[in-house]
Amino acid sequence: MKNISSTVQAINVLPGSMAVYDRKLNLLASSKEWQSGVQFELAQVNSSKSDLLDRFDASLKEAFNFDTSYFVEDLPAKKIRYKYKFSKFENEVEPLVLAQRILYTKPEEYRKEELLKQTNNVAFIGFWELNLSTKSIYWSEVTRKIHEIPDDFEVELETGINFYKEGADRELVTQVIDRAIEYGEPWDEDFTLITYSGREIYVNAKCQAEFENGKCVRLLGTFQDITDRVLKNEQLRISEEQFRLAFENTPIAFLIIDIENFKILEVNAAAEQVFGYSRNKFIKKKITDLYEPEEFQKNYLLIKNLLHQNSRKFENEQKFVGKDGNTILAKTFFSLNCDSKGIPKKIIAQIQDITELKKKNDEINRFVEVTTNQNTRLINFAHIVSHNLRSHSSNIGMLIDFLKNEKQEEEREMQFEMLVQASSMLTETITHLNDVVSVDINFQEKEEVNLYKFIENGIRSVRGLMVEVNFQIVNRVAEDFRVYAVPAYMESIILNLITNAIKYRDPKRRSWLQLSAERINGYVIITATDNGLGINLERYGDRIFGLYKTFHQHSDARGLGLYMTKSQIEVMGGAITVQSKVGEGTTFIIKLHEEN
Amino acid sequence: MKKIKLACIVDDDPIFVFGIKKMMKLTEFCENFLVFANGQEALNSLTAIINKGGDIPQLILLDLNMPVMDGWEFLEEFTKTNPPKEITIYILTSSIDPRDLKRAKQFNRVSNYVIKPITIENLESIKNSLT
Repeated sequence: MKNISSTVQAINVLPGSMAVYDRKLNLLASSKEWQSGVQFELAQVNSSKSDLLDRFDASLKEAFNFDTSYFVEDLPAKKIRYKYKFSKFENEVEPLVLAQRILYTKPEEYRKEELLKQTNNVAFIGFWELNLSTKSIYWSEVTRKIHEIPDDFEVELETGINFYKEGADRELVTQVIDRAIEYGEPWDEDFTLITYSGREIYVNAKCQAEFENGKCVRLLGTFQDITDRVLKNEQLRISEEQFRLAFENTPIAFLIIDIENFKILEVNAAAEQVFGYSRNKFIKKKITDLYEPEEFQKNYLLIKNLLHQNSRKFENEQKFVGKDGNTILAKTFFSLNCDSKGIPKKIIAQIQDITELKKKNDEINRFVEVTTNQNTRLINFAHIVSHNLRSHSSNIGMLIDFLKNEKQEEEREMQFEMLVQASSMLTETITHLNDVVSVDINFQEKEEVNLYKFIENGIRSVRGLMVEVNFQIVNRVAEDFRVYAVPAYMESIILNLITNAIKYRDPKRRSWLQLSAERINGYVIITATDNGLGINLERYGDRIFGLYKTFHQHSDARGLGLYMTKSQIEVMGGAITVQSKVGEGTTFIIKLHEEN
Repeated sequence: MKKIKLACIVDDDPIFVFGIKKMMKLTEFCENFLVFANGQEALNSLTAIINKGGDIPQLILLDLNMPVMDGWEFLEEFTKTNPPKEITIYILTSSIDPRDLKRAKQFNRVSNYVIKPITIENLESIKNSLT
């Protein structure tokens, strides 16, 4: 036992938990409370508590070297925290250390602090503290983790500051620390930090200054890694910028629409171009104001349905009305824009003007139709030509064969007569074919003609026949009714309709033909109705307009007239249809474009 | 050589009918023949003969392109009446349109498709195939 001075011995009777150690860490003296508390606990130390013993010894040694030291011990079960405080003092012979254990926090405070610590760990907010009186820095576990420093890294003011990126960031942090120390100005700044491992990250640091007697003693604050947030914001900024560029530069009109009242909230430049309205005019309108009246109902329901659909989008073709009352045919894509909770807030309408495209497409389709028609006609024509020419030529060949061998004069005469007949029929067929071809080949320009006068001329040319068979023709067309047509075709069409009606009249009745014309939706509709024999359309159908198709036992039926009529009408861009009932009569309806 | 008892010509071309009749005489083709100017006439008369149990033709030479009722329509209507097996039908036409030949093959009652002009040799081989 060493010689212990009486001063040290006095500890034995002092209140509180304290003890005195020498440099060799021998316990020289201790209070009653120490003996029953700390000493008892240290003696009880098992493996799980060895940490306490280590920290105790370490702090004790530290105090011999640096005059003071401390550490805290958390006892979560008891919700208390002890502070072990070590202070060096000089005895007569050697330096000694006084160890004290102080109840550091009351249970409620302990809980608050613990909660804060937990929160900070979760939020990954670190603490830092700069003690100006000791010139020491304290970094919490999170702060250390953010800096990525190893466990044994000792932080000093200088090394701490060096983590800030050289240049503006380091200058700023130095500046704000100086100002806080000098004027007590709190700060809250974002910095770029280069971590211990060399990674560039973004941090936020906040600072409060503590003053004692007009002098700053301590700076303390929080420290947070905000790299993810900064990067996300940057990404968001880039994608917003990209969207804005696309939004402004796309040829597709974008309309952003309020989901509640269908009001237009925002439009892009393309929308102004497509519809002709300025942005200011747009935002006084609803999307439904832009529809063609007949499209309104359908699209209103589609938009309403958006909210109830799973897909939350639809695409279709819609018709809008532009500023000048023009129809805009558009391919549209409607989708819902939802907030972060997935609740729909806005409708985004993408409207692609396809009016011109559609027009061109229609033109091409019309052209294809005309070409296909013409092609079909030509194929049929080729076969008919071959058929008819062949039948005449084979008859002629056959008759010549007979004539070569025929001895009987009477028979020869008959065969020769037939040969003449066959020859003239061949000539006639060739003439017909020439007529047919000329319709397709020699296209003539349309002119504005007076339909009434053309009909009157047609009637005049068959007047003799009309009187002979007691046939009546009624021209109900207005005297000034004009139509765009190729004059020669119009003449031929009318004459053919008239002669057909006379040819296929019902001899049992007083026969008539009535002609009329009207304008409907951009078309001229010419109607020719008779009370003739009529034709069984179920049986003959489309063959009625076929070349060399005849349906009545009529000696002068050639099967050419209606074929020619149809060709001439089609070449003028029109169409002809027929309605008929056997025993009642026939109506031909011709449709021509009103405009040239 | 045996003659065909009764042959039937359905054709609207009077010159062709004149010619084939003459050739039939020259080749002693048949004892008697019937001539119809279109499908409708042929259909009416033939169904009447069949119903009455009269003499039915062994051969029908059928043109395709005819007014009122053409050869196709005749074939459709006539085959619907399920005519006696001993009637053989030949199509005799000026048409060399492959679509017509293809269509003719769809009628199993049509035995052959002959393209005009018809010759004495044609008629003789038709006769041989039947007798």
